[in-house]
This record gives sequence, structure tokens and C-alpha cells, in this order.
Amino acid sequence: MLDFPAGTKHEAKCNVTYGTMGHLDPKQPPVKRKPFAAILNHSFVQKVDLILPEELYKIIGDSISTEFVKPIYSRVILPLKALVEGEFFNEYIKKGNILMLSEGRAGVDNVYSLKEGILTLHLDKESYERAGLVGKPEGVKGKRGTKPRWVVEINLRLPSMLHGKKGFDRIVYAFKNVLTTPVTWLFHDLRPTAITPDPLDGHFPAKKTASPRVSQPIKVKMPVIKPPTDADSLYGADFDDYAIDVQEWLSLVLLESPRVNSDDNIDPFLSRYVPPGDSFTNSKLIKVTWQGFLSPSWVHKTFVQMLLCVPQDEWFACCVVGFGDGPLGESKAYTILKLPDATKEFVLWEVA
Amino acid sequence: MVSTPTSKNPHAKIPDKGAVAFSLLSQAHSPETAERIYLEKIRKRPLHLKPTEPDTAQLARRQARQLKLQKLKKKHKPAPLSARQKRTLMLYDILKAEQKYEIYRPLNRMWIGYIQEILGLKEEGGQVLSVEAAKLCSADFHGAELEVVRSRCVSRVGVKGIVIKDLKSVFEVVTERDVVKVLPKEHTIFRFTVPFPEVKVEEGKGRVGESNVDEEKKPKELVFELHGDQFKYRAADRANKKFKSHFLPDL
Repeated sequence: MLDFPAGTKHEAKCNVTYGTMGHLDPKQPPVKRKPFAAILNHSFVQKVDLILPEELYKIIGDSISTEFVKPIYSRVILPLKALVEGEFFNEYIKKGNILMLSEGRAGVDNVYSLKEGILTLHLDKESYERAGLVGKPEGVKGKRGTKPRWVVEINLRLPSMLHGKKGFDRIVYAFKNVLTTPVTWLFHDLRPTAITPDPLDGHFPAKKTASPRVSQPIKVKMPVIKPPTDADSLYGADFDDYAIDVQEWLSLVLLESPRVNSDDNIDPFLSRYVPPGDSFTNSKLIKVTWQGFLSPSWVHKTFVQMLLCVPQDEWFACCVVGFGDGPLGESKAYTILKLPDATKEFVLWEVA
Repeated sequence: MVSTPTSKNPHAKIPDKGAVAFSLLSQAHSPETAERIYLEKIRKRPLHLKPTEPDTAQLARRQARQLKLQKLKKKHKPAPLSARQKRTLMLYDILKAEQKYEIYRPLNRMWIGYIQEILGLKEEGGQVLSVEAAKLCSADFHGAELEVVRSRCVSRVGVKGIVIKDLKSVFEVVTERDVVKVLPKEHTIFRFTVPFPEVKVEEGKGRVGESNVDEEKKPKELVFELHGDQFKYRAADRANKKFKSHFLPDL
């Protein structure tokens, strides 16, 4: 009757954290504390954007383009069977550490991914019942409708995962008889040095390098991006508003929307957006983008490097977007904003 | 009931002269006639002690008694065994020693011949029409080599063996590793293959080179998938059942 949403239970939520990073030891960067834990929490990263003032970019721009590691990934067409056979299985899965993600839309197609030796298969009903691999129901609980889906997780690094073992033969049976269609994979080797001969060469991979793309300076009406100091700690509405407004503003900068431009002149009938806050300063921003099949560990490393080379009173924001690999095709994303003037303070938005 | 009075001397020719009846008769008849009449009509006259009407109750009792005796004498069929008796006697159990794949391999060969006959397969291959394929519904599946290719219980997928029992809702198969497995038909799809009959090679002509040519020429095996959900009938019931095409929501 009325167009009320059925419920917000399964919708994506955004968690905001405001805190200090603590001491950063370059030899032993933290992995368990926020915001570093949020970075490593991701499985695959599709895009990393850095937003920083132009003055800052002038200082560290050279090191971004030279010192930062350029991630290499490749695109290859493989059937699932190839993963558990021969040198590929021994070198990449048993000994090495690789990240792989197959094509397809999550929640619709059969999507496979490999991380830390754990092969995850997101299967529809028919493929699941035919493959004969035990898995768990995927997606919302309760009534799962006519198109229920399953997720099968196989740890290929277990000592029992060897050719000739009973459980492994089931997997080989499924890959040989049922899940046979070759799919396009994104492949990333986490080991620093490539092995020769590369077992992947037989499948003719297309190698790619994700190099940073630097945008033209964006002239913006810069709001104050420091969080308000709440007089009453119980009443956090000011911080709520701040978190929503700044997230929106950063997203518009990412989109390079003309609404945040300092010389924007839009009819309020079409858009009533104004940057948050009352006082603005005109400034120029630079956006640096890496796009490709990136690993969370690379993002972590880049973020730590960034923190180390940025002067303490400058600000920058790091926006990371994953692949749409959630159970319903939603993608995880987070934004870390290092606050200006304050030495180690940050605001973290996590969308999941 | 009739009975005749008997005297001590029934063969005495001259009756008792002192009898009143005889003296009266002898007054009216000659002595011979009087004697004859006396003997026939008086001395040997039947004496009806009781009227001879049948006693129905007695007759019924007698008949019942005789029937009972007859029944006892007749060999009657024993009552069929109850389910519990069958279980205790282990009539339908397959002993461990008999759970061998090798034992059932000839049965499988026979079954393949039987199905080839039903489908009307020829050596050179060809198509199987739906009319012939429909006969598979009422065919017997004891001896077929079935493989589970899809099941709601995924751990059952991949089990392959020769059917030794085709019950209402389960198949019992013996696998190649000599294990008997019970495969429910519900929510399961089975697959079986039927090869085309082999070309009989005349003796003397069959050489190695020729047989290789035959291998290449040989038509591919027919592969059938059996929807267990639609197959939940006993073999005997299925023989006369008409299968209709329905909408299957599970497919």
C-alpha cells in the first residue's frame, strides 16, 4: 500500500570512529588497532583514493609516484580445476600466498574467491546441489525465497588437502564434473618476488600495473573538517551531523562534483547543497587514485607510508572501496580522515 | 423310526395258538390263511414307535461336526508373516558376504541388455524417441548402475552403484567398494548410462587395428537423468502407472 521499506535490518550501515592513532613505529606498523584493523579487515580492494591539499601534494608528490610500490596484478581465464592441479596448486596455494577473485555479480552469479588459501564458492541452488560440497546458507536468514544461495568454504592449506585423500577427491570431482566453466579471474601474488617458471604462464595472463592517477587540482570551498567539541558527552548529535556532513562532502569531492567547487553557481531549484559549516576557505585539492585488484596489505603499507611522510599538521583522506562481493552484492568501503593540526587524530567511516 | 418286536423264537412256524388275534382270525379264515395273515399283519407288523420327522438341531450339529473334521483333515495355507516376523527372520537383509559388487555385475550386464531391448537400440546407434524413452518409467531398475548427480543432501552426490533393491522411496545400491548404500529418492537426481549394443565381430576377422576403428565409430552412450522425486513408487506399482508431465517447482 504505502511504500515503506520492509526493514532496515539488512541494509548497509556506517560506523564512525573518532580517535587517536597512537605511536607509529615504522618497523612494526600496528595491525590490530583502528584504523589499521579496518584496512586489513577487507578481503579485496578495488579502488583507493587519496584526497589531499595541493600544498601537501607538492611536498610528497614525488615520493608517491616513486617510492610507493606499484601493485601488479593480472587477469587470467582459468577453470576451477586448474587451481587444484600441478604446480599452480603447489606453488601458489600450498607454498605461496595469492589473492584471486572471479568475475560475476555477487548474489546472482557463481562467484569464487581465494584468500589465505581459503577458497570460497558462492553458489546458486542448482550448482550447490550438483557440486556435492558441503556449505552454509548465504544471505538473509529465514525465508530465503525461491533463489536461495550457499557459500562453500574450503581451506586448501589443510594437511588433509592432498591428491588421493577422500575429501580432496570430492572437490576434484566437483571441479571436473560440475563447476567446469572457465571464468575470468583477477590474480595477485602477495609474495614480493615472482617465481620462475611461473605456473600461471601456461594460461596466458594479462599483466597489469596499478599506477597512481593524479587529478587536476580541484578548487573547492573548504569547510572546517575538524569535529565539533561536544559540551555534553551524552548528547552526541553535533558529532552525528558532523560525521554525515563531512562524509557527504568527501564523497562529492571524490566524484569531482561541481557542487563543492568554490566558483559553483547552481540554481537552488536544482540543487540546494552547500558544504557543511559556516566558515569556508578557498583551497585546491588533489585526488590520487589507484584502481585495480589491490590487496589490503598493500593499502595498509601505503597508508603507513603516507602517515610517515605527511607533516603532522596537514590533513588527508583515504577512501577505499572493495569489490561488490558481499552476500547481496554490496561492497564494503571505508574512509579514513587524518585530521589537521591535531597530531594523531583520525575519523574513520566504515560502511558494511 | 421303525422297529420290529422280536420273539424268542422268531422262526417258529406255528404261531402261538393261544393268541386272541389268531383265534379270531382262524374263525374267519382257513388255518393257512389265518396263519399267513397273522404272521404278516400282526406278528411282523411294523411298530411305529416314533414318527420319522427329521431332527434339525441334531442334523445341524452333526453337519458342523463333520465340517470341522473335514477342515482339520484338509491342508490349509499358513497366514503370511507379519512385518516383525520378517524382520526377525532377516528375510530382506543382504548378508555381509553377499554385499559384493562382483556378484551384481552380471545382473548389471543383464539389465543393460534388457534396457537396450526396451529402447530398441541398434548396433549402429541412432535416436531414441520419447515414446520409447517413456517405457523407462515402467521398467525395472534392479541391476541398473545409478549415480547421484544432484541431491539436496550434498554429501550424497557422487555415490555410484548397482541397484540391488528398488523400494518405494529408496534405492539400495552396492558400490564398487562393496558397500551397500541406501539412497533416498526424494530431492535427488540419478544418472544412468546405456551403451549401444556391441557389434558382434566374427571370429578370425577381429584384429587389433579393426577393433580400434570400431572404437572410434562406436556411438556415444546414452545418458539419462532420473528425477527421484517423481519416482517414489514401488517397482510393481510403477509397471502399470501412467506418468504425466507436471510442473516441477523444484527444477
